[in-house]
Amino acid sequence: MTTGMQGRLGKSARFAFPSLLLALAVLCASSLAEENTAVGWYKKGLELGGNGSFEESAQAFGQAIKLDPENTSSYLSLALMLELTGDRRRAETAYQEALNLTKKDLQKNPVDAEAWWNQGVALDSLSRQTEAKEARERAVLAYNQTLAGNPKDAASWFHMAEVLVSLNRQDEAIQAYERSIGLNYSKAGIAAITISNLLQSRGRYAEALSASDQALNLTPASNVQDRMLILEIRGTLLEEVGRQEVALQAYDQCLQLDSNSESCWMNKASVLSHLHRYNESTGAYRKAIELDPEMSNAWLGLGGALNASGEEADALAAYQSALKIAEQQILDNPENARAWEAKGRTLQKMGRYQDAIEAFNRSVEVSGPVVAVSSASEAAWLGKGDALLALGKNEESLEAYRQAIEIYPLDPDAWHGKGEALQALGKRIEGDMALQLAERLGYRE
Amino acid sequence: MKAWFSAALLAAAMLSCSGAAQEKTASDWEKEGWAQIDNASYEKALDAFSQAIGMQPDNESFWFDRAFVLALQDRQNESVAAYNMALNLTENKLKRDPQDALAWQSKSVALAGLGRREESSEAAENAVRIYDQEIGEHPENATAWWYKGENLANLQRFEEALPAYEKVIALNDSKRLKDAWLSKATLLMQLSRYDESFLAFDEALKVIPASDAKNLSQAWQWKGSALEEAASLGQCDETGKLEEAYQAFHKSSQLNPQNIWAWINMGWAAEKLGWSEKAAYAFDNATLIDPANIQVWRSKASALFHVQRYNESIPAYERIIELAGEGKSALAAEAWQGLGDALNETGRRSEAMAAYEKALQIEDAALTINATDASAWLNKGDALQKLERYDSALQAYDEAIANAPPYWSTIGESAWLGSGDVLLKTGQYEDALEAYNRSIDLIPLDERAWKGKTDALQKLGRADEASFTLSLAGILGYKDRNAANPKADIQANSTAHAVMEVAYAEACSDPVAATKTEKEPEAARSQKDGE
Repeated sequence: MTTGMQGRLGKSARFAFPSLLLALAVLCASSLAEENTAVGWYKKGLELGGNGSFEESAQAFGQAIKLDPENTSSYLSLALMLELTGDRRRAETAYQEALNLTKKDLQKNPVDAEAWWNQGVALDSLSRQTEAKEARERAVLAYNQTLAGNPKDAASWFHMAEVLVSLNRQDEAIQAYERSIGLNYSKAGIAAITISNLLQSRGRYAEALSASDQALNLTPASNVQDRMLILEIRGTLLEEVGRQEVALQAYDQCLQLDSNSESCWMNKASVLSHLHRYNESTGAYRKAIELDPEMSNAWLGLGGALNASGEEADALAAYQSALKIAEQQILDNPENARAWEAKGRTLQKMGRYQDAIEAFNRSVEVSGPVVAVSSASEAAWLGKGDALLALGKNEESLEAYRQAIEIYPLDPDAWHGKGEALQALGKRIEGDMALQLAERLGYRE
Repeated sequence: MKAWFSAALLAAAMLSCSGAAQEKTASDWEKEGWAQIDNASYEKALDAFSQAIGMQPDNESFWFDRAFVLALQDRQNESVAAYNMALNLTENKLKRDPQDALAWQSKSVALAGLGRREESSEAAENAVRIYDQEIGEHPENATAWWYKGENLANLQRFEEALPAYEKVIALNDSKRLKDAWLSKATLLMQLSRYDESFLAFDEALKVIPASDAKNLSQAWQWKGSALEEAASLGQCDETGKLEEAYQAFHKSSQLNPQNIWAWINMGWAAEKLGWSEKAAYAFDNATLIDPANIQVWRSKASALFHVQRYNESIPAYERIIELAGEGKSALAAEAWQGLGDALNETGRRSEAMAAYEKALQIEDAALTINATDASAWLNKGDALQKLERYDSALQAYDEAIANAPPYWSTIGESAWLGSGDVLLKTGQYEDALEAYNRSIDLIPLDERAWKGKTDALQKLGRADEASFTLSLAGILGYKDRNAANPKADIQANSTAHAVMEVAYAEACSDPVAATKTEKEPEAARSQKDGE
């Protein structure tokens, strides 16, 4: 179930996938600094981030900050990119800086909704969730005030919806997004795809598909970036409901818009593997590697597809490339939890289970808080569970899956692993229920 | 559906063992008992099985029958005693003949009933080994294939059981053909291969002679249940599948108007479709067939409550209480709690409290007789919680957990869930979280536990984790009753309603059709370009 951007980020980021992409899309709508050059760097940062070039994107946001050091959005975007490159420490510094800026903004204007919203994001990212909740509730109050004065303010409805999502008030969020769509907001397509994403997360797939289609209809052909984003999210939704063939078409449409999109190639490669079209899948992985030879997940996917088509020697070479990249990333930053996790997964594919377990352990050790984007804890526990199960250490494996589920209970692979471990321990009824849940969550071999 | 499946398999296993019965009269009593189970008349079934046991006390099949029907009535201690009796009998048989495959199968079923899973699996595997030997020597022996399939299915090795049943079908064993198709259909459902499952049900329906209305009715009823389960997954064409399920139950009730479960399932399906009048008609018919059947009234009451027709559920609960009388106190207590809930929902708070008090009195009386009755402790905890006597409720749940049977049951899960709810209400959020986790560990498919965990996480300020658990609760069927209907919002607001329909059809249609839909605009464009 590893796809594109998700694959690139590793499994733990799977749940963050649509929201991350959406976060980028939403940031475009945020108010920007007046200074033209800072705006230029900011836009460049968003573009690079959207393409998956996180380090370059972080550099661009850094430039924007140099020219406009008072812009909270730039700091939040920088922090996000730093998280994605596995640099939690520098990310925390950026979040802290953003937090300080929001405090300044709020001193000037205590009902500045956007400042409250940004403060919520910064606090949440710094694992200060209780304060984050309070800040977001203040943002809701401020938006309510704005909307009472001007109920036709589409942008405020949209932002209100964003805050409501972060407060888990999903039904109200959907209504607020709908209001922004009804008022022809410029990001109406993003509003609709977010509705789709919310419905998908609650298993309401048919409605989610309808909303994703609406998102495409609301996004003009000229807005290539949003259309690609919508197509990718629609593709993952289609995969989740088992419509791999139709998902493939969505990724192909995405590639028609930009044949150099790494994430579209990764998604396409992954779905082709699920369809057992391994030759085409290896081709797509190779295309992604051509665009970014340092993408360890592409090498890993390529290895899997080659292995499935019986080309074991080539598969091993691909795994070795993935391993080399992960090891280099670890050398660059020994606290890069994602790199440790990628190393573990690669070693596991190579059948080196004990070494894999050690890498997964290291990943858990160096991971930041489990809610952080940079955390690889869930994926590492899952990988550890798989490795332990392969070694027949069923009790320990069960415990590892439990840990993964505790962090991210929507992971079908973790429930499937738990089911297998329980069955191996002779607990058939419990095992059967865990496997059933895995299927409900979209598990596929 | 799951319980139905397990029950069906166990029933099949038990019926297959019953072939050993020589006395015609005892066998007749057994058949009578199963007919009563089909009618949900569990007391009558128990009487019939007791008659059979009286005639042949050494026949383990009758003890299985007894254990099964006692379990259906939640009389766990008596059920365990019956399984123990059956186990002793099968062990004696195996001492005499260690190659007696049917005895191994019976032993496996008895051990499963006693919660001794590993030993149960070993016994079933022994049976499979013996049948494999037989099949090695006589590959055309359909009976050996049949029993091999049964044992593999009991071992939940569904992928392996499937070819065994397919072999029975290929060998065209007329005696088992219908059951082999039905078993195949059921296994395919277990493997979530619903479309294939429906086809297998259709084959079973073809095999059953038109004159055999009773079996045809049952097959239609089972197919309806399969359609209903597929619909409940909510992925594609939910309403269409549910309508098909309704039609299947309707067909079943036409073929055998005495089939109570066809009427009840039809009522449920109609309720889910929002067809209130049809639902009421179906439930009324079920209760008319046997107005004194307490199980039918239970289903009717809980269905009406579930679909929030509280006022109509009240007389149904009252009828259960009337029918339960003094003799069936557990059912009466359950009905008092249901009645209390319904009264509460309709704003009759003081009457609701009185109903909960009644339930509490009955549970207390039961606990005076047997202080280790886990089920009574659980129900007592629920009644106390509703009466807002939270400390006592927690103590009762603790007792339920401490006295829960050693084998797998829902009591532990429900008691942890109840504890979680009480702890949440009393502001003990960390403990509530732990209680919900324990509940989820036992049964991860209960949306109430995930919703409870969500609330506890929210209270603890762990909003990110709460968003995941809320999603999971939603996927498992939790719906916020107070929330607006976002689907309606989208439809009302969207200018692209027709487009939505296309998207829906496209995602749920077969790949070929979907491809056509996707390609159509392109084809249309090139035509236009050509012009």
